[in-house]
Parts: sequence; structure tokens; C-alpha cells
Amino acid sequence: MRLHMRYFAQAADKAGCREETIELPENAPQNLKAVLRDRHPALAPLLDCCRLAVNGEYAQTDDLPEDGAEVALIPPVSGG
Amino acid sequence: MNTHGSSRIQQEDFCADSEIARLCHGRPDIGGIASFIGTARNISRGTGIQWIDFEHYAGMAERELEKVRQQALAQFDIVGALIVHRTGRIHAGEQIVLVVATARHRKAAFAACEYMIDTLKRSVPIWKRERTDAGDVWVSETP
Repeated sequence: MRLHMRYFAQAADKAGCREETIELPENAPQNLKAVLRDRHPALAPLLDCCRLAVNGEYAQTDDLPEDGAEVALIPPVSGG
Repeated sequence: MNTHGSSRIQQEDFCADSEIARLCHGRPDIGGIASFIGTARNISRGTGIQWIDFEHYAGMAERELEKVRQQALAQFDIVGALIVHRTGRIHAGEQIVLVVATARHRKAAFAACEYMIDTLKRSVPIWKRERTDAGDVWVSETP
């Protein structure tokens, strides 16, 4: 499956990019944060406090979304 | 459903007086206006701040901001609600965010205004990076 990843703020710094398309094999972990931890070890300390958004909506779980989704890694927000 | 007002994210500064005048235009049933303006401090955690760079997730941030406004309209006895949040580089002393609630009575206006600023700080995908005397710092706490 293929996911379009978006990274913001300190997550973009740690990932070293703001977006990328990732291809996952069928035997990939079913937990998206585990996938990201493997792919970008520098993200590991940040992942526990990050939320995931799938196609622009906060996700209720860390499960892998459907093929082709846009997934954003959302570090703690700090607007206002 | 009451949808009076609007929300938006923009780079340019805003004029609170003009925004409030527009929100109140043609609504003589309003008895009170509560507003909050967030500004960029020149000191944070004891360190001097030169400017703040705001980043947002375009599309989702606008939708989440509008959800906050709609929640306020649904939960409080208010007439209208407005939220304007700036993005990009904001220097110390400049305006960052404007939140306004109009109501027939003041208590609902105050409560809705506080609800909107508190909620947007927790839910809307906007981030600030401070340029301090000691380097660049992503801010992650919500005071």
C-alpha cells in the first residue's frame, strides 16, 4: 500500500522532510507509529506525544489507514 | 442553526475594530461583545523573543478552526462568533489571534470567547517556533 505522509513543525525537523510517499509491503506493521519509528528513528522520542490525521481529520487510532490516504503527523499544537 | 460570523487564517494583520463592526452590523439584538486578542510577547521562559514563525496544516487547520467556532455557537447562547488567526512571521508586539463572541448578555459572550481561545490552542494544527536569544525553539506547551 502507498501513503502520502505530511510532517509538521518539530516532526518535519526530525523526519528531515515535510512530505513523502511511502510504500508499505503487505507484511508491514499494522500500527502506523511503528512504521514511522522504523523509517525515521529520529522521530521516535516525539511519536508518543504526536497525533495522526488521516485525510485532514484527527484519527481515533494509530492503525494503518486505507491505501492512498494522506496521513499527517501532528506534534503538540501551539496556536493562539 | 446559527452560523453568524466566520473564521479564517491569514498572513496579514487584522483590525479588531473593523472585524467587530462587521460582525455586529445589522444585529441590534446584541447586548455585549467579548473579545480576546493574543499578541507576541518579547519574553518567554526568561528568554528574549525576536519573532515567532507560525506554521499550519493548510486545509485541516481552517476546518478545525471553524469546528471550534461552530461548537461555541452550538454550546453558548451567543449571537455571533469570529476567529482570525495569523500565520507566517510575527514579531514581538504584533497581533496573533482575534476571538470575538457577541451575545444578548455578557456572561455567554465571555464564556464563548474563553471556550474558543482555550479550545483552538488544543485542537487546531498550528505551531509556533520562537526565535529566541538562545536559538530557535518549537513551543509545545499550552499555558
